[in-house]
Amino acid sequence: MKINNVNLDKIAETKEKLQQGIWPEHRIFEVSGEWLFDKVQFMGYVEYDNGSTFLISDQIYAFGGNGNAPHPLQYVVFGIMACYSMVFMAKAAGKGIVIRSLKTRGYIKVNVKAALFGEDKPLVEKVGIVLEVDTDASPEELEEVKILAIKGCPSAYFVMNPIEFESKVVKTESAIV
Amino acid sequence: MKGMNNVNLENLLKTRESVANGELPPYRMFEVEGEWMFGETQFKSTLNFENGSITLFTDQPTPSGGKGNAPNPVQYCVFSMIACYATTFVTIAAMKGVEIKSLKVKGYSKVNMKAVLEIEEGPVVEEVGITLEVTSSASREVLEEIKNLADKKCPAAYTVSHAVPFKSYITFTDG
Repeated sequence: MKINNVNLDKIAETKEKLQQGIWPEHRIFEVSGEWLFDKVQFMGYVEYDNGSTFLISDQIYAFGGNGNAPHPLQYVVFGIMACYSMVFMAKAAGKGIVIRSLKTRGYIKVNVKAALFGEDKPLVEKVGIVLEVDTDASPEELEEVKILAIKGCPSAYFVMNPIEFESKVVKTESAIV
Repeated sequence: MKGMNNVNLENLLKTRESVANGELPPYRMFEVEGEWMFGETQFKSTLNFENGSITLFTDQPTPSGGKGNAPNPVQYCVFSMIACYATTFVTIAAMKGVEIKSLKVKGYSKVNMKAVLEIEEGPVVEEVGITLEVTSSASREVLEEIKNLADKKCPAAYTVSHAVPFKSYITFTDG
């Protein structure tokens, strides 16, 4: 059964496999990339089921970049709002709620003084999402779906909770040409 | 001064001064709009930047109810984190006069699928990590110092390692 462009049968199948221990409990999402010395500053490579793609990012001109690609924080907002929208639509579909259209707006508010001068205030002050929904469901039903989406969305989770973050730096030798 | 590590320090220092003088606001908002799709992918958005724009698509893999026709949102989140962290790391290096000859980055996010699918309660994301492979004539100690500063100054890393207020609202439209 498919509602809201979400295949509920596949989700039910996955849930069953997880419960039976056929599927691993955890999924690791990995992405790699490299710094560029050209018109943009960073390029990443992402593989998915039916293909792969390169993603590029660049700082704005005022912050030392070239303004030739989206800023990394635009990708942060995009990732969070896309993730949240997907979980919202899947939870709505799970409850049999048909959504005719969904438009999403997201933002992240960054303290520039904390980034540039080390001001002792939160570097990121807030993250927000507004969902504009066209549906016959009641506001109460949608509030319920929203609560489930907040609980089940990995991106909302990593915004709202402190997560173990590990960074490592490995120094390599220059290639001999 | 332009050009060190592909970071324009002259522009950055000018901006720093303007923020210090109050000529530029102390906060920056990054805003994005997108919409749900009912075709081959599930969500799309156009990101505008100074010299252009780009349209991105996302889709869940088949086991999660999508068709696997685009990267999934968590992959975008991991990409955004490694891009933001790399940008912060290289910019701090440039400000310290440390030349980076090459930088390769790998990032990951460990997601508990049982928590996502409401099979059990628990942390949805268990850990996030990043590894930087750097070629530079700087010592390991100097690179470690830059990394420690990047840990503190990268907004994406901050969002992962701290609890940030998260607000979500629903508004209704008529079809």
